[in-house]
Amino acid sequence: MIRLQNISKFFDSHQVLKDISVELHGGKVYGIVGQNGAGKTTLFRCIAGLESFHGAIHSEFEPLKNYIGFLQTEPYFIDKLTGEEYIYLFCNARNKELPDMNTQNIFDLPLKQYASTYSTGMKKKLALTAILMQKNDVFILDEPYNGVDIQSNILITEIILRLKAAGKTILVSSHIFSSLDAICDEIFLLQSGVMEKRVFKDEFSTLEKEMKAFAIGDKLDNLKF
Amino acid sequence: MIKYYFALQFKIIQRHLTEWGIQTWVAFPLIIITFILFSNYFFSKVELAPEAFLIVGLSVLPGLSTTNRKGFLLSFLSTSYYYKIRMIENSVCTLPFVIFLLLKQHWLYAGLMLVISILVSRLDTGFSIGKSIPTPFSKTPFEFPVGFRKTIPFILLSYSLTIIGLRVGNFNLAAFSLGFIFLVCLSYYSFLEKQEYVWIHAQQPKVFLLMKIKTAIFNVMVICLPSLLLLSVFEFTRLLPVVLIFFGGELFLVAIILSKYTAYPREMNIPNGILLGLSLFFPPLLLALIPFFYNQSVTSLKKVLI
Repeated sequence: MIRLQNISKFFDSHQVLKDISVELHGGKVYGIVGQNGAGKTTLFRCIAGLESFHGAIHSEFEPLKNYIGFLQTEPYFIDKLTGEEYIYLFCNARNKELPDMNTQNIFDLPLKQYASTYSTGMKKKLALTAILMQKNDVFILDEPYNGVDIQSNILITEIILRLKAAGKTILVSSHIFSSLDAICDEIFLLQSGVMEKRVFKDEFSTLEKEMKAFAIGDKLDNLKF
Repeated sequence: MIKYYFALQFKIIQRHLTEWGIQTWVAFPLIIITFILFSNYFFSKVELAPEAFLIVGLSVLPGLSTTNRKGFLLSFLSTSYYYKIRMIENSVCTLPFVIFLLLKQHWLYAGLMLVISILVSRLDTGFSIGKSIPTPFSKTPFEFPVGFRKTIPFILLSYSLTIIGLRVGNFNLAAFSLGFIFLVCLSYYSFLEKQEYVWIHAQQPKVFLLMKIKTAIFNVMVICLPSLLLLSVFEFTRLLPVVLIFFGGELFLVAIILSKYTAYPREMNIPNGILLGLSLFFPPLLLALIPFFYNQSVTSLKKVLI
């Protein structure tokens, strides 16, 4: 279990997160939705310990950062580092045995090539493979479906469901509502740094309708095609 | 456009200097004075200083001609502007070396350096296809696999210098080649990795640093092995200077690794850089610097590694 208590984050005088308190449990998938700049990535970075913050995070895992696999929106790859070496780096970092990539290369990535030459989708798949090889207990997946092909999207959904079945705690953000609908037990709506809503599975369709109405509103009424 | 590009580069350098807490008007004279002092010392102590100067001066150029950088510059520059800018960049980078060689009346090397730097500006040193160069360091990423690939020509050059030195009976050249390998390997730690690359480690700062040092000591030994073996076999009677260069190089490598994390996730500060530079002239200083840098690094890394 991970408990976030009154998490606030300031960048200079600008408050990005405002008193966020939630509880996350093992064996569940939590979605986070919100507009660009709502604070999703900052919240993820706070949980991961990559940003300082006001408030507290309590967890059964100590220190929490050593149990987190963090898939970033745009993973960064060092020039002249191959996909395989990137995975080895992640495994060494957690003292895990180096995997046999002939059997563990679930996305059929060209692991002997430089990761920096991969396409956006391939980079995301490599970063996901690396955090899976670390055998983490908590997964923070920031936009895991972004730039990824349909087949891999299906595979990622299945991976998340299997992680859930294995009792892992999973936090996912996505701009594609249908992808969250399929995997999440709960969805949090983050707006301007405030956790506006906590929605359970049976209310997902209502949330989607509300978000649609909010996003579109009357913005298109004056647009002539 | 060219003027704007270089004005922007100057601004970026100024921003870095500000980040390190040093004023531009202090930094530039300091760099020039350090360069002159170091070069004079180098020329007074090393027999093949002009050749070494040529290699060191040119070694900065491939990094400016990578495929990624070329692609980025060409995304907003016309081809003619690109080549003009690249030519000026390379000339500016080698200019201090060229001027110093001219002052020392090594006309041929000065001319050669200028011509090569202009020619290199037309090259693309990266690989456009995805194929990677195999390395013996793949299991211990990232500094050595990445650095090895970027510096293969220099490693091969240093092996060649060992062989040439031994064949012509020039022990100094052969011994210099060993020191040169260390210089090449030290460059692997010039790049400060993003915070996430440190954050992923489950080790405490002390263990993290020891792991980095152990990996570096072993891997640099692997790279030095061909030269070390040749020197041990063919210059058996003069092993002491070889051993001193080797252990001195290893100590300096340890100091470089530790200094890199002294202000992490920010770049190393200028005073530490100066201390590191001084240790080149007076190596025993390393014995004090290593624990000093170690304590600073442990403190800095605690912010990321807990």
